[in-house]
Amino acid sequence: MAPDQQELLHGTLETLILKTLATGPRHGYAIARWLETATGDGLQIEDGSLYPALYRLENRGWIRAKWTRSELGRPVKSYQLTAAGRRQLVANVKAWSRFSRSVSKVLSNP
Amino acid sequence: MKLRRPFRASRPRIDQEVDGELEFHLQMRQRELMAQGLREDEARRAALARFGDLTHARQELLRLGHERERRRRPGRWVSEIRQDVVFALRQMTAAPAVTLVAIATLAVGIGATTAIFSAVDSVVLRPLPIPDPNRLVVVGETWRDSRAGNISVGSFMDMAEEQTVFDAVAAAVVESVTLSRDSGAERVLAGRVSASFFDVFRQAPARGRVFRPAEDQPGRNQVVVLSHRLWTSQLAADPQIVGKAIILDGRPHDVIGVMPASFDFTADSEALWIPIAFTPEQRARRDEHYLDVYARLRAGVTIERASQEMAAIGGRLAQRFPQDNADRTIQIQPLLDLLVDDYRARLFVLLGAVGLVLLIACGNVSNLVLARGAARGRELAVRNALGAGRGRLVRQLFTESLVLGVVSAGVGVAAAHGLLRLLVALAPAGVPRLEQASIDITALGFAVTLGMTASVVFGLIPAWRAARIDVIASLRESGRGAGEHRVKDVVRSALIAVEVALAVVLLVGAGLLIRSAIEMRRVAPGFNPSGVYSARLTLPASRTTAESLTQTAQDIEAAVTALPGVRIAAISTAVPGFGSFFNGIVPEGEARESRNAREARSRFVSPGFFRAMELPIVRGRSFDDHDRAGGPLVMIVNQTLAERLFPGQDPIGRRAFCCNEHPKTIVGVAADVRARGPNRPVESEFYLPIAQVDDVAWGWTRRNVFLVARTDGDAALLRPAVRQAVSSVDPGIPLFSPMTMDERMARTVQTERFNTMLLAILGGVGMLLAAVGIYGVISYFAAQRAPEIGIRLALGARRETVLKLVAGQAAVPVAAGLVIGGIGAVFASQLLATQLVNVTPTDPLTFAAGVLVLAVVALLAALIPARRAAALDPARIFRSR
Repeated sequence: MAPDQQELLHGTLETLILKTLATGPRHGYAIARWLETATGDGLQIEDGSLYPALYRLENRGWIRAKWTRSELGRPVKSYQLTAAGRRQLVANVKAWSRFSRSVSKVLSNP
Repeated sequence: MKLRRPFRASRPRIDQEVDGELEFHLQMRQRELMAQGLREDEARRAALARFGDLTHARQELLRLGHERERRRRPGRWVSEIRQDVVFALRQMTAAPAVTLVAIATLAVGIGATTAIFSAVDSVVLRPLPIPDPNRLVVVGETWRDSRAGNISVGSFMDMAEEQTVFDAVAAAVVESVTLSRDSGAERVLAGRVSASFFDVFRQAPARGRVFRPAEDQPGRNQVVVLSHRLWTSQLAADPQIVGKAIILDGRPHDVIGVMPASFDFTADSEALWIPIAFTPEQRARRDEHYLDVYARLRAGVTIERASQEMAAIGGRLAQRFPQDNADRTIQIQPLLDLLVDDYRARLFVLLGAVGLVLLIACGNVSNLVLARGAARGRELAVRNALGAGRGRLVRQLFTESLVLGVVSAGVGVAAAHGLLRLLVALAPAGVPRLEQASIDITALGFAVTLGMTASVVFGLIPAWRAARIDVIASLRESGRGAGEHRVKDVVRSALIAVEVALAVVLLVGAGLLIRSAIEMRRVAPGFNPSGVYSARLTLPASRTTAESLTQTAQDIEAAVTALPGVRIAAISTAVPGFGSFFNGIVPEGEARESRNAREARSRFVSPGFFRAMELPIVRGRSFDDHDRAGGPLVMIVNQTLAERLFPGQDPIGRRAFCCNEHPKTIVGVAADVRARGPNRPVESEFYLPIAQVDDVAWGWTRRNVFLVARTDGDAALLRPAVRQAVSSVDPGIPLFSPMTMDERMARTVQTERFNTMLLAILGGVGMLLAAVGIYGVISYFAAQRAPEIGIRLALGARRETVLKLVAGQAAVPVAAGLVIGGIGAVFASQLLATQLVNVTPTDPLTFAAGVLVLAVVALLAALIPARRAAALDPARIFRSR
């Protein structure tokens, strides 16, 4: 990936994670799966970049991690949105739609 | 609980957590791929490939995990705060000029406010150092609508007997007595008090005992209780003092006890106490009202209940003794209210005024911090981008404000210490408990609270700004984002407006007091105090008859008149501003009952008094040597009393009753004298020739008289000669409180002067701070707009245009501030209403002057930076950018 795209995705990935957790707590793998299906695998996010993003979000207080047990009884770390994260999500979505509107305006003009 | 524990315990082991999470992910992915038909080893490889750089990710996660743990640790707050404080201190030392200005500004505000607070605390707020001070009341007789006054002995005895609401009741009269020792005679204040006096105050002696009821009897009252102050200052704190005798007014008194230091309420309270020991004749008297009465409310009795009972007793007395007690009633008032009544309002006005100064100071510092916040916009943006949360940045800015506030509070407390000592030194004598004011724990707490509150106030706006900082814009535009710029300008302008408004309130308040002081000077005192020497003296106790007292007074008068430089000397029982008693006067023809009596102040004077004081006799004649004992009884009334006794008629030759059953013929009308100061109304007054004063009336004076002497030169220089002349008559006569009449008159207005001076200083400081604030903000605006100014100048704009452009930025906020301040002052000045003489609280001249002065100062403060901006060299501006 080109550095520019990486930076673009950096913020986008975080927003997507927040969006994923908006419906309820999930563990890392479930988030990865949800992103794959929801985007139709269009973004091709490396699993390796998902976890640092999760950790950063947690450090910022936007999501909270909790150890629970999986369906198979294994300890598993699941993440859930905090109130601050919910606000951030709203702000990010707004910023994104502003951004995408402007971009598509430019690109769709002949 | 048991389930959770292992997880919690494992928390710090981040490597396990990271590995566990990653392993779970890989296994899940592997299982998914196997479900799609891959072999186990193929699936593992694919899962790893899908993951990307596992080692790198793991290291990153460990780092982030450790960071998170660091934040979560309980010590984190402490360490972060320490970090913030250290950083704040570094920031402060990095910009020493800004820091010094900020600290100095705040310290002035905090220092002044703390000093005044200490004074208010000491005089008004602090409880008296006696048990249950709120249950102490003063009992007084009121006559018609006048304020509660002193009680007659008869009324006191009856009230004390009938009352059921007090634990203890005591009467007291404060007078000066002569304390003779080997080293010489000295006047000290003595309280003649009931035996129960110390019970009322619940004070036990530090040594010995207090009075027994048996000692409160005539002939048995040669005992004395000393104050701690007298014991230490005059008697060398002699531990064997109890049982020894001291000489008071020429007679030995046994010392039976010494009170503790805490009973010295003020520096000028009584030095010793003697039993009051009423004689049977005194107990029967109901026409002399001179007792101060103190009482302690019984437990469970409210002020209201006690008031009701006192009114009932007063009503019964009025029925039983209509001649003396008609129209009189008995009232009570909490002692503390009475002590601090006059000063409470004044001190709170002062406290309010310094509060305004502090607010202006906060405004300035807020502006400084804002300006620095703008300069640091980029730094904050970078730190935000590096992961410092907004909360963290706001906290950082707040910590900086707080550190500034605490340091300023420290400097302010030191300043307050000095200011308070200055205040106590300059304050008029007799402000109760003021000299006890000190920067104590209460004041320290106040200062620190003030510093904290101030830092919150001035730190709020910059911190709020920082919280809304736009990272990208700040980074792109080096903290000079256009939108932000505008918002901040509005905040700055608002700060200017508020500062100007506060300063207007201060200036108008000070202006009103100054105008009032000027008006007071214009008020003619009614006599000519210049060149008059005055002193008090006590005629010797050996002179027991009216004749011998009059003779001694005449001898002293003659001896002083004979001095070179003295035109004429006179003796009087009172001079304007001091002495005199209230008596009821009834014009002949009306029944001699108290409802017909006009209250008036009496003065017994020798014939030369009116000439010595240059007090004009406007009708009739002055006293002369023919007005002697045994001759026709005469009196002189002042204009006010003449009008009250015989409205619209010529009083000369008419007769009136006062002081005793003998009517006196009015031979003259004297000019009204502003005896109690130019700000007090003229009172009814009458004068009797001292030669015709009888034994009873001499008893009221307790042989204390004033000597006045008109000189050709400086009255103050007369002191030693007068002392010698008086000694030549009788060496045992103590002469005290020598003062020129000018000094005495100045004393009547010293509280006002002191207040005026303080408020004027505060007004000046407030104005100066506001000017500094305007200067700072306009300088900032000018600096912000330097490129624009450069372009305008380069394009040929005239310097005047630039001047107007820059200085004009102050116009709107200053004008708004002037208007708001003017309106605020209309309300605030009502607080001063009672202190003003011949000036209304909304005096248009003062308001106009206050607003104008501030407008001019604001213009100057704006013009200086504007001129500097207009003088800029455009080429330089562009080069520096």
